[in-house]
Amino acid sequence: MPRTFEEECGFINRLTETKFQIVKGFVPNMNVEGRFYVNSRLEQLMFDELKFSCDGQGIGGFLPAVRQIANVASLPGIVGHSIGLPDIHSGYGFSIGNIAAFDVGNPEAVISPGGVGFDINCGVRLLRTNLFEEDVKPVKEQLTQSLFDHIPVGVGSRGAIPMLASDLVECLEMGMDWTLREGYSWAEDKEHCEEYGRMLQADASKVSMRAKKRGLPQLGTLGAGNHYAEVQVVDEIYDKHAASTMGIDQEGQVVVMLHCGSRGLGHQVATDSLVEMEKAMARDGIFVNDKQLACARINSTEGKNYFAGMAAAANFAWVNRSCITFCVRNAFQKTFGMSADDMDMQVIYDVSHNVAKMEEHMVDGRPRKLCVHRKGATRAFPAHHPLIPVDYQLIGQPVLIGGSMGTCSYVLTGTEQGMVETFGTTCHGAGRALSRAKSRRTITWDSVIDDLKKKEISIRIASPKLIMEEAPESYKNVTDVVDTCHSAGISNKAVKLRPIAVIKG
Amino acid sequence: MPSTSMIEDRGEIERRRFEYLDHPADIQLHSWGTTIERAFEACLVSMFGYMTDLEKVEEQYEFYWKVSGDSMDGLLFQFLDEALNSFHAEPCFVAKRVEIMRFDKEKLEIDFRGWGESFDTSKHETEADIKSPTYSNMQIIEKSDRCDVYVIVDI
Repeated sequence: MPRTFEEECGFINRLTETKFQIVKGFVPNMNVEGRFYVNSRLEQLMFDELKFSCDGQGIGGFLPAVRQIANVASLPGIVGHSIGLPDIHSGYGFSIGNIAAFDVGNPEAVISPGGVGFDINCGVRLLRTNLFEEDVKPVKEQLTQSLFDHIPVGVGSRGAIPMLASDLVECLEMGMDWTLREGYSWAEDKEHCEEYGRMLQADASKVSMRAKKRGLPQLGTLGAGNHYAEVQVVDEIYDKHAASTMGIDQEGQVVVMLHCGSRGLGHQVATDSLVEMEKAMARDGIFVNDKQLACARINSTEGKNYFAGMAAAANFAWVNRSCITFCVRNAFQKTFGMSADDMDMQVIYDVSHNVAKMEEHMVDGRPRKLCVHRKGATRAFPAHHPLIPVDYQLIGQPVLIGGSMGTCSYVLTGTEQGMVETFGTTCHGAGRALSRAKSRRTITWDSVIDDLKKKEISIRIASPKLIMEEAPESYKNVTDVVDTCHSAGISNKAVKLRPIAVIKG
Repeated sequence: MPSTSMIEDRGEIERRRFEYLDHPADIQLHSWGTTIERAFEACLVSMFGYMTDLEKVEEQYEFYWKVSGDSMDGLLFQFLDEALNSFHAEPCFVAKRVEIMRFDKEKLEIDFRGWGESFDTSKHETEADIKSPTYSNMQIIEKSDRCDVYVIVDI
């Protein structure tokens, strides 16, 4: 007999204004408790989802995020808590916006492709310019069109940079060192990138032929869905010191945000590993609450193979963002008749929000090596952390939060408290609120276009029919998400950005 | 005429035997038929139908696939993934109609084929980019006279 909604709520307690606890027993075999961060508006969405699933009698439907957090808490070797961030929503196995860390030293501890997500190393990159809104305004339409012409977008689009199969293998192993060698990146770019744009654990031989075949034509393409390139202007500066360290000095300054990932290659790596891991689970006697939570012991062959393949896919994503950066710089050069260098088009930072990494964290007062899964969550290390670039040692790692189409985006910085509470992690974006089907039903095409026009945002979109699915109303309010993280102390607000041109798949 | 994924006419939905259900981030495919074969076939067509308008796809050539699994869920996953792969890699094949030629429920193997053509951005509309089927809440409900299949796909 399934529990009622009221009985389910009995397992969830409020700890602070924005923090909730999921106690053991909510689902079977929980090794640790769950935690999630929401403000009152997001709280409503979270509990509605749970209520909807209790009423649904389990036919069709999907698992609500709270139950997924709890299922993750039941995986072997998990330490701390299974944590949900304010932008959380139901995903596969892990929710989008779920963090979990596993003790590498524990032989039972696992790594799970579901905890990384299908789009491995999906992430956000921010480029600055020394242009201002007034400089862009007169040529905004030309610039938007030029970006759309330069960046390959949409289903079935092909990359602009010529690639051979042998190049792909090098990309997978070298990441941004490849784009630097080939002349597509600037030397400074990789300094401002997580892992310096290259995961050294990558092994291209652990990426299947099938995944490589999917990846080859897609390298340097933006993709579809929620991926985009946006021209934005600085709307508000909250932390002057942090902003100026990043090269953002004044309101009105123009920046470019890119959001994309490892495309079909990353998906295939994830899919291939799911099949492998099912066999490993049967062999090692690992039981999970949800089939999509397939996992393998970190130190098993399957676990190691997945990590090496995932790292290769992560490198692919950095190469992808770098190729698109190259396209963006070219589009700006053409439009303004100036060199990208003269426009100071430096990479401010590049974050990954779907990845697993081996990191050292303090657990019960002792340093321990953990495999931290961040799915729809961004690493946010505090100032003085050895793994962040020299330039940002005093302000903490910049965290880039992409908003939904036509709404604002944010730059945050990491905090000490985040290091203690959430393994140095914060939110990644808005997170969906309405389903795609519901968006299509309830939002009209004209209203979305009118709204963008009113806000004076230029748009080019490869699949115009889908514009409703990506309308701001379909997403949680990114400001709520960012404010929740700010008040919970897991990240600090530095800069707010507002879009003036959008290019979408 | 609305595109495949936008059709709301109940008569048409009953005829084609699939519909798209709500999911917060992605989409859930629900298909059915008198037998599991018919339900699987409709499921695959529904997947292609969410990526482009099938009205605009011509039956130019046939494409053959062969898959096996270690459970019924695994088989359905492979069935969709295999076909999706011929879309994402060469020859970018989109099927408008699918037929299962052999369904071995003992050995868990399926031989199937589709009729369609290669995706061409100048001719076909690009809609959602389905990246993979998932096991998330996958359900195959088989009764004596009807089979229902639910699959969430990742967008």
